[in-house]
Amino acid sequence: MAEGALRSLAVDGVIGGVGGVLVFLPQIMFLFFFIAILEDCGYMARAAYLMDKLMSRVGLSGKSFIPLLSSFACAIPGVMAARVIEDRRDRLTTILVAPLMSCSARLPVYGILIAAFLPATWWIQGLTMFAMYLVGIVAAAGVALALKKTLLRGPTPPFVLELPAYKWPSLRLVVHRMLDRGWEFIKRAGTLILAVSIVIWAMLYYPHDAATVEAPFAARRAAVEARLANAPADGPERAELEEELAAVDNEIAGAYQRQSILGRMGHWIEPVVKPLGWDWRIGCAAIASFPAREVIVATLGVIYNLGKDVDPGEEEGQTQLTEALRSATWDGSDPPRPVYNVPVALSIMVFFSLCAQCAATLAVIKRETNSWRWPLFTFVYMTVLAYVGALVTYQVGMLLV
Amino acid sequence: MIPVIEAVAFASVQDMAALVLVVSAAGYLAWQGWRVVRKKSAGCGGCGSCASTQPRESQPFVEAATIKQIAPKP
Repeated sequence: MAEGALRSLAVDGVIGGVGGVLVFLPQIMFLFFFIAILEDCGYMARAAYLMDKLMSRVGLSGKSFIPLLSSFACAIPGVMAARVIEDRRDRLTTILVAPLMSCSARLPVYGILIAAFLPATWWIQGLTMFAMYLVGIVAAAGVALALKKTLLRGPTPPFVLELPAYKWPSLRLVVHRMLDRGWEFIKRAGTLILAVSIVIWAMLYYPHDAATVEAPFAARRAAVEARLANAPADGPERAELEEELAAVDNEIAGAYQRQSILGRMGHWIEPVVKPLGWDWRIGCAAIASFPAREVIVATLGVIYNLGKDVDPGEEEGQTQLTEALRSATWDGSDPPRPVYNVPVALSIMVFFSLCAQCAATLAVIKRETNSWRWPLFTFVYMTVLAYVGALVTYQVGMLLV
Repeated sequence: MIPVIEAVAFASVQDMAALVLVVSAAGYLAWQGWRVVRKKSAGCGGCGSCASTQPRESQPFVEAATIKQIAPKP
């Protein structure tokens, strides 16, 4: 296909966006495989019993444990499972903290940033992933305690639970659930994430005013091209010139992004996200992820690949997106200053572990509480918590680095 | 205001095809947003990544009962 809008949409928008999310399908299927085993063997009720004492310290009972554990897969069944709690205050507290559990949609966000910026030692990367899950658990405990001491004050009711018999999980059922959820993930990537990727691509591509954007680079590019035409085929000079041409092309791609709709919007919000260590691209990706958080991977894929010539790295597990994130620099910085480092990656992960970026969950909270007040409360408190958490993470991280 | 409309030059079929896809994607997102607000798909299964096998009629994983409920009736 010739160079043009449709080619850019297919390569940068669809492949760069949806492809970046789809690579996480195996991890998602593993997660659901193990959750299905836990559910099917009868362990959940025992875990709820074991956790009762711990949960009572934050004002909840063991009954809240199952909704909260379910929320590690997805907050929606977690919120709905809170119906089993008879006490209204306990039920409401459980519903309000359930979205803080790290659901499967957060997994791609953690995965891409940990792979790109944490040292490739299994225990560091594994501990960081565990720490992200812990951030949500600790925050949920703190929020539950605060709610039970203020807005939803009341005694913790006694915990009574019928324990089902232990049994071997049915392999057929577990595999069926795993495949079913895997298929749902693919469908989501093919619908919502695809649509968001296309819209983000359009906001980053238009207005594609070549005359204005390329004019300042035209003379420099023409000079490099002329020297390249006269350079010997096998000489070292040719490789240098090709690198220089690629650098000019990347500068042109950057200029296109800055004058795009998303680029201009991003520069308006940059002062808000800069204290978190983020540039306008990360800010835009975070805002685009409010309907569904896994969209950030697709959005970053579109933003960092659009019009750029990024070679996938040779290291194991290194994708084009991780390489693009590593090579991203602040606009106008001279010498080029990398956008991403470990504190920035941790700041993004903490933000995503605490933020209410799921429209479907908020809608279910509205349905379960029969009021817009509680989803609004959830959205506000989680967004503030996420911003403060990310700010503290980045600022403390920069002091330590 | 950003001169989006003026700047979109219909230079080729590629431009027009891309624009049709973008408008379709934006329409799909608007429809999905409207469905969430209208509660049509806000139930279990709305997000597509939950562990429930019965999306619209999910049952709690464990039934809880009070002592009164599980005690045999006289």
